Amino acid sequence: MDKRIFIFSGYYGSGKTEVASNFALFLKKNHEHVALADMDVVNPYFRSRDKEILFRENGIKLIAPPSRVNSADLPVITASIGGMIDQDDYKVVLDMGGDDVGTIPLGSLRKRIQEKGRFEVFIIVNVNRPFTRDTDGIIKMAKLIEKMSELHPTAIISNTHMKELTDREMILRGAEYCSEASLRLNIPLAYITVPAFLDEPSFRESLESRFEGDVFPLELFYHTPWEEKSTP
Amino acid sequence: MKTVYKKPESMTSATTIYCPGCHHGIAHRLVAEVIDELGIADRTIGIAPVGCAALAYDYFNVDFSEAAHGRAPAVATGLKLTQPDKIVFTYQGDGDLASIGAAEILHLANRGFNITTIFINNAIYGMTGGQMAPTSLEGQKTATTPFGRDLKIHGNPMKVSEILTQTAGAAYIARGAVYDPKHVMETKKMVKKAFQNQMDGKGFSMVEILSTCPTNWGLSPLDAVEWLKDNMEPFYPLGVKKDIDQDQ
Amino acid sequence: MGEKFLMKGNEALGEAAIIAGCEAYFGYPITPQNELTAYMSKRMLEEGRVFVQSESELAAVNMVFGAAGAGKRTMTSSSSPGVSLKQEGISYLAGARLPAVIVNVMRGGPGLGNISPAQGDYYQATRGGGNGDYRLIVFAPNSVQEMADDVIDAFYLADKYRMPSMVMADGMLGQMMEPVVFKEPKGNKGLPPKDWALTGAKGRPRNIVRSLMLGGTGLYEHNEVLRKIYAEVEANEIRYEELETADADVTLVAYGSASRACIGAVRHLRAAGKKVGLIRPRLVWPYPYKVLEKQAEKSKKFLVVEMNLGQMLDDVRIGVAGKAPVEFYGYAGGWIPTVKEVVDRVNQMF
Ligand SMILES: Cc1ncc(C[n+]2csc(CCOP(=O)(O)OP(=O)(O)O)c2C)c(N)n1
Ligand code: SF4
Ligand SMILES: [Mg+2]
Repeated sequence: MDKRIFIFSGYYGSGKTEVASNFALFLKKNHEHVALADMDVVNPYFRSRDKEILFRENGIKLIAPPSRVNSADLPVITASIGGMIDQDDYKVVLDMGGDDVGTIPLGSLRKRIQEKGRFEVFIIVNVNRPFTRDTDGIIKMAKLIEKMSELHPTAIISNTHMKELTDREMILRGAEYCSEASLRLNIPLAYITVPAFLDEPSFRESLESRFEGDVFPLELFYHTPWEEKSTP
Repeated sequence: MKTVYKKPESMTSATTIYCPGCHHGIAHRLVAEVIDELGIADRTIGIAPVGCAALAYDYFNVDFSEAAHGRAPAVATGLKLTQPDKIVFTYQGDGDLASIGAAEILHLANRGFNITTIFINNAIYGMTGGQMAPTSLEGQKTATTPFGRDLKIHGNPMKVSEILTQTAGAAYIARGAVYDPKHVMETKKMVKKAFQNQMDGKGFSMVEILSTCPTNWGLSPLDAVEWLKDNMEPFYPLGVKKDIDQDQ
Repeated sequence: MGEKFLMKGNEALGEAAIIAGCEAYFGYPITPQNELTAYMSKRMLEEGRVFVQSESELAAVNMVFGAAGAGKRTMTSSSSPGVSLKQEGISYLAGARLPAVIVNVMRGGPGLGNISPAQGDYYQATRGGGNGDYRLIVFAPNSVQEMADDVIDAFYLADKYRMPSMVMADGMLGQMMEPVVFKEPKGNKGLPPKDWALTGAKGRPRNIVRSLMLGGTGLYEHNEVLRKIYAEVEANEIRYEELETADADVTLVAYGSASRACIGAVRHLRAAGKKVGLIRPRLVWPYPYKVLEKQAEKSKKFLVVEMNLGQMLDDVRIGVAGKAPVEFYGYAGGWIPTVKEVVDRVNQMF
């Protein structure tokens, strides 16, 4: 993969942060320098900046506002994001806020990204979310994001889930809608995410034989405090 | 070698956490330079807003108070009236000053108390993630005007400085910008005048500063400046709006 | 049954209000409930209903006062500092006997505090945070599903008793995503007609919306009416949930996000053979005092878990009435107790 900058956008709550975090870890397997930038100025909780330790332990550079302002809602985009984009030896994952509005901060970097080229704009889709329940909804959202960010989406990631109630049939249904949307938008369906608890070879095979995209196994990092595995 | 970028003494060594291209930092610097030049750091008290500049007290090396959202003029009134020899200023955003704090600023201006206000107009709620501000322009897309600001639905952008000139107590009202050295110099003169007026007991003085919010406007720092010039400046013309010294 | 969606708590609050027939929403941005105002800025306009981003929370609640006076279903929402500002309007709503729904997605206080989840506004919600003797019907959901259900019920009960009601959530519930199925609202079945509304006095004696009661025994009588209504609500609307309480030696009492950790703790402790149960008030006003009183006859100890310094604790003490010791676990400042913390604390009680 020769792409360098990976932008994760999509409908509000589609799972961008979860997928972007997994994607950064995935990139790290083959690349020395990987950075993840938290560009979500909308969401006050469940942000990649809260997973400082996870990224540090895995050698991924986290670009986020200083932790002393973590419990304020200062929507700070740090200057180092721009610097990172210019550094050719770095793979950079940009975790955006949701919806077209969430991609607004991307505008402050758009020209720099375009000049650098080799970027990917992923649209993350969960068809269990109210406004992307079908192909039309997905296409509408992709168009809105394109209009606001002035960046053309380059691929779709199917991330259909219902948290612990996710089942294989649901994942298939999500992939179908995404596949149809990808044909109509004329961009590839890059990945179909599968949470670890549903991941098994025969399911992978059936997905990959039916759809263009690869299976992308997801480890879930973002929990409510009562879901944390600190259980005695 | 001459130092081009020396930090004013009335600024702390803390690095500001504003986004790249945000004008809050420049505005802070201007105010700090004026405080230095007037030699009033040891008797100045600032009041921070609720907004992106909520942590202003981390950056200014003078006494500072927090105020509830929009209430800085009221807090300033309490501080100033009980210690008239102190120099009291509020630093407020457009949501803070023109929306929730509209009553407080209007009454402060009308009472004409000897207080200085620095008003940062960036046509948006920066802190809370880019919602419409009273100063947002017609057609501007924000988190709460997803289809663009529609004057029929969302009302008209508010020209605060022009409105405040109508108050009897306002001694000095001016609007500046800080996007290039020329404007920085001009705005600094305005800020200095607004503080000098307080020292001379002339009454309420306010400088509105047209500012960028690249993050929530979705523009690069340079494009944000262009957007400000092309869209904000025509609607919010720069210049001195009221000056009792000139008008007499 | 309707379709299942995956939604954020804040969005579910908004969609539920729309389903419940909310005709006018007034709000002012504040984290961590911004998504609700943003959601309404889009959806209410799409539905051709009223949306205003007001100049302040104070203005928003008074816009609600106006829309409620017009006899319309109306709602405002905010988070703690903003809800403090609404208290004047809420007192007037109660005084003028206007039905309306207020949502509080609580964050850390006092003052500006921070944006983390908290339960510091319990007293304010259940004691009436404004002036005068009044109550709100206060829902305390602990999931996105319950948030949606509660908004629908909050509109219904507000109309039924002609009084304001509140949905009291916290930042975690507002921000987290869970599956939700929207239930059918009861509509106007069984509700009194809004013949007091200000619709223009054509063909009827004029109506006046007021809380000002001058002269003679007017205010006394008005307060007696309120007393009667509140007694009726207390008689009819007690809602709570019990988990493994029948033989519990230790009974936990919690609501909202704090109760999620308690549910996990009860399961864990039961698996370890410890007799632990949970009482979870679904409404925190009216409060299930009698349920606690009964439980105190069999349970040896109580533990109240809250994300504050001990507020509902007072109500549990009232209910338990000295029949058993009531202990407390909680703190303020931005954290939600984990299952492990609650388990450790309960283990100390055995
Ligand atoms: C009573 C109350 N209501 C709402 C908020 C949430 N809030 C924080 S900052 C802000 C607006 C900030 O916008 P502005 O004043 O324009 O400042 P900027 O961030 O743009 O500099 C709001 C609504 C609050 N903290 N307190
Ligand atoms: S969000 Fe806007 S106002 Fe706030 S620091 Fe960033 S650029 Fe400045
Ligand atoms: Mg602003």
